Parts: sequence; structure tokens; C-alpha cells
Amino acid sequence: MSPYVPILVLLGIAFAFSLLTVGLGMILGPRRYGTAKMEAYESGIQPTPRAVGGGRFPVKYYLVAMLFIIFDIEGVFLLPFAVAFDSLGMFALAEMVLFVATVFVAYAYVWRRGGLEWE
Amino acid sequence: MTRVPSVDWVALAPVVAPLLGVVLVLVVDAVAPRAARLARVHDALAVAGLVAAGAAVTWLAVDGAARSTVCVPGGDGEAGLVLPSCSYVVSDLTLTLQAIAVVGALGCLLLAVDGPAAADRTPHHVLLLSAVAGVAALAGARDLATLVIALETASLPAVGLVALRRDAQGAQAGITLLLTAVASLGLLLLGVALIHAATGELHLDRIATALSGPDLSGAVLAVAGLGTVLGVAGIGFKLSAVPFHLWTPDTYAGAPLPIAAFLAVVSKTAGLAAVVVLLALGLPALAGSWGLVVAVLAAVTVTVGNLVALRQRVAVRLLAWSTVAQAGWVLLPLGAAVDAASVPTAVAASVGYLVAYAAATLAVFTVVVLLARHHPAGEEHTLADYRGLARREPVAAAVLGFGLACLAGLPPGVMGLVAKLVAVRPLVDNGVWVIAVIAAVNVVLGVLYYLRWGALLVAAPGAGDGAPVTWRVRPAEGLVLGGAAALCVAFSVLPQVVAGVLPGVLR
Repeated sequence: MSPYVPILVLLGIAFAFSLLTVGLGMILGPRRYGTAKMEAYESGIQPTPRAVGGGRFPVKYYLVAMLFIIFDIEGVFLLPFAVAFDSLGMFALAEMVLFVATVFVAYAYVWRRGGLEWE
Repeated sequence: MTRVPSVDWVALAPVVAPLLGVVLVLVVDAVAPRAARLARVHDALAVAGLVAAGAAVTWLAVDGAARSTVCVPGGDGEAGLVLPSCSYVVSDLTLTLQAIAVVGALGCLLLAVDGPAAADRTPHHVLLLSAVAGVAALAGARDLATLVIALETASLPAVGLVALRRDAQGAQAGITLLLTAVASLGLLLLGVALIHAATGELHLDRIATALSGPDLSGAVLAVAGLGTVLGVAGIGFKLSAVPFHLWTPDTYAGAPLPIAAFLAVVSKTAGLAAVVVLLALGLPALAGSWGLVVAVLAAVTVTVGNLVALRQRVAVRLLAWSTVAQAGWVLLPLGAAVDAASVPTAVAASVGYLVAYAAATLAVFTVVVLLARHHPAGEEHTLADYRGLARREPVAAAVLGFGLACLAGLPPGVMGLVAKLVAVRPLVDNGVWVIAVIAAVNVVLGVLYYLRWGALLVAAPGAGDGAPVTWRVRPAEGLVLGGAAALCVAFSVLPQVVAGVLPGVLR
């Protein structure tokens, strides 16, 4: 059997499942619309009444999201280091301290310039 | 025992020095945020970071030792002995590209320091130095992952730099560049992934070996070829090669002028570095295939860039289209590669052209920055505003005229002439006649608009031009003007520098 057959089967199941759920929802589900339902999801931008070219939207959420990603990635690097810490020796520890210090400098900069203030 | 690769910090100094500058600038601003009295400290730290990188490049070039670092060991593989491979290699190619990026960035930094960067010193310096570190790493990158990461480090800070203008036009330019960068990253990643899938290797020298084997299946070559095309397309965006150039005019016009100069000099260097490293070092075995693709891309880029530039009236837009055309010229020699043996000459011609292009472009941009600062229309000024500049500002007009002659490849701009000859020679040598003829036609097209601009400089001032403003050239700007002019003159007196870059083995 070709190794691609399971992938194709998975693809088929995924399509069938989404069609099934969306279809069932369309047939069986009640339709009640309210303000909350019409709003953009989570951090989404309201496209109306003022659209592109004059509309302004807050970037606060994006700022926090980006900071989160930076520390997320730092965590991604820290975890394998922590797992293999014993066998890596002093060199890797020094490297890691350097890395964390570099990220910390950027963090201190953001903090001092008011990047962490919500309002 | 997990192996930790040893790191040769001297070899990495051109990358580390700007990053050290970044960290120091951030520390100073974190200790005393927005302190106006520390403005000169920020500037000094940023300049010091770039000067240190330049000193490191010079030292490595004088030292001449073959350095490489972050290596994986060789050993007995399935198909015999495998040589150790390194992720970062110091070579003539690496050092030449790093030198262009560092000198160009220093010029742009000095131009911006009291201009557009004055209000946002820390972000400007940090972003600019990060991008330089990215280009420096890219020049030495010898594996696919380092290549991609370094190229992104080189190009994403440029988005922030463009958006520093903080008005609608700047934001528009920034968004355009960001979307382009993300789309091109997607293409490049897909291409790189396919190359990795076809060969199973990450290091470029091992990929080159894997693809030059005698019994490769057609499927492997097809996957690697598709990966190559996608990779070239991804990098084509960064080089603004047609048809991936549409972001260029709006971004150049929307960015502060010194930042536009940065895009024209340093970001172009990054693009060429990525193309050369990927194609010439990783895929020389496929030169017969990518040579044709690059040749067509370069020919279309030169032609479209020149034709549209002919119709431009606003100086910065003309420069934007001119850099599109020049990007085609930089790519042109690579299009002459027909087999692995013809790759090194093609790369040397490409990098030689880039040297001449960078020096001339920096000289032209410096005068455009100066005129924009002294003109009521600012960065929107047109070519007509250069009428009679030679009478009012003879030095600046001379530098601009000489820079334009170099870009056009006309005497006295011997540097540009030699660069164009060197670029066309591989095409003629390898019999790619169609492309060579297209290149020759484009020399004439380029001469048309560069000469028209140059002729305006010495024309009699027209009526109704108002009282001319006397220019007040800041010391930093004067330094860049003099430096760029000196480079153009030096390379024109000694054109063998442009013709003879990368004499050694390509690695």
C-alpha cells in the first residue's frame, strides 16, 4: 500500500466530518442572531462602520500577542536545553545565560518604554 | 554525551558586532528612556557597532585564514567518507558581501541620524543594526536553516524601518513590505523544504554532493528543481525582480529617503547573497536548469525596470524603478551559468556588479536626500527640481552626475562600464546570445533616463523657480557624500577591483 493512502483517507475523513457538522448545523440548528454573535471573533477588527483608509483600531492586543510569542519561543529553546542540561556542560549554560540575558534586555526596553501598559 | 559544536567567535565577529551594538543601544534606552541628552550616545553606539563589524571584516580579509564554524563532524556514511560540514564559512564571498552591507548601512545610518531617525533613535538604530547582522550572517550561511533565518533577520527589520515615518503613507509602505516579506518567506520555505526532501541534507555542500551523483532518479531531480524554482521566487521578492517587484515603487516612495537607500543597498545585498549562497553553493549541479530561469527573470527585470523608469518624473520613484532594473543586472551573470564549472565566474561577475551598484546608488541617494531636505516638495520632488543644480551646488551636482554616469555605465563612470562588461561577458562566453542582446538594448534604455537626469543638472535654471535655498549640509551627510563619491572615483580609477572580486575558490 502506498504511504500516501492513509493521508488521503485522513483528508477524506476531515472533509466528510466538516461537511457533516456544518450540514447538520444548517438543517437542525436554531437561528438566533444577537449583537454578540455578529461581533468579530476575539481580537478581530470591526470592518464597519469605518473601513480601511480612515478607520483606526487598537493595537494593544497585538502588542501583547507579540510579546507572548517572544517568550513562547524562549520557552521552546529553554525546554530542550533543560532536558539535556546534564550532558551539555558549562559551555551550554553560558550560552543559555547569554541568550536569556539578550531577551531580558529587549524585555527591559519594552517595559521602560511603556510597552506593557494597557492604557 | 551530547555534542556541543565549538564556536569560532572571530569568524562570527561581523555578525556579533552589530548585535552587540543592538543590545547596548537597548540597555542605554532601558536605563534612561527617551533621554534627549543621550541621543549622541545612541548614535555613537550604533556607529561603533557597524565600524567594529567593518573592522572585523577587514581583519578577517587581511588574515586570510580559511575559517569555518558551527560544524557537524564527518565520518563513514553509507556511500563512503563524509566530510565535516559547517553552517558558517568565512570566504572571499562572505567577506565581500559583508563589506558591501556594512559600508552601505553605515552610509544610510549617517544619512538618517539627524533626519528621519531623530525622533526614534533607538528603534531606528536597533532595527538597522539587526538587519545588518542578518545580512552578515546570510553571507556566511552554509546550511538551509541558517540561510532562511538569516534572510528573515535581514528583511523583517526593514519593515519596521519603513513604518517609522508614522503617517498613512509610511504605514501603507510598511504593510506592503510586510505582506511581501511574509509571502516570499512562504515560497522560500516551501522551496527549501522540497530541496531538503529531495536530498535529505541540510548543509549546502552536502546537498551539492547529493545532487551531483551519477544515478539520480528523475523524481529526485524534479522535486529539487521545483524547490529551486520556489526558492528563487521567494528570494526574487527581496531582490525586487520582476514579476515580484510590485511592492518596490510604493515602498520606496512611502519610506523615509535614507531608509529607501537602505532598501536599495543593504536589502539588495541580502537578496543577492541569498541567491548566490543557495544556487551557487547548494545547487551548482542544477545550474543548467536554474541558469535559464534566472536568465529569463533577469532579462525581464532589466527591461521592465528600465521601461517604467523612463516614464518617471518623481526622483524617488525613478530611483525605485532604476533599482529594479539594476537588480536585473545583478542577476544577469548568474543566468549565464550552464553547468557547475561556469558558476564561479558568474558569481564573481554578479558580486562585482553589486559592488559598483552599491557605491553609485549610495552616492545618488545622498544627493537626493540633501535636495529633498532643502526643497518645499520634500521627498516628492521631481526631476525638474534638479534643473541648474550644478550652478547652485556644484559639489553635490558633480557627485550626483558621476553616480548617474556609473549607474548608466557611461564614461567617466568607468566603474559602471566595467561592471556592465563583466556582467555581460559570461553570457557571451557561454553563448546565451538572446539574453546578451537584451542586455545590450537595456544599456541604451538606461543611458536615456540617467543621461536626461544628468543633463538637467547643467541646464540653465528655468524661470519661476523661486529663490534658491542655500544648502546646509550636516557633517554626517557630508561624510557620506564624500565617502560614496570617493568609492565611486576609486573604483573607476581602479576598475580591476570590480572586475576581480572573488578570485579564489567559491566556498
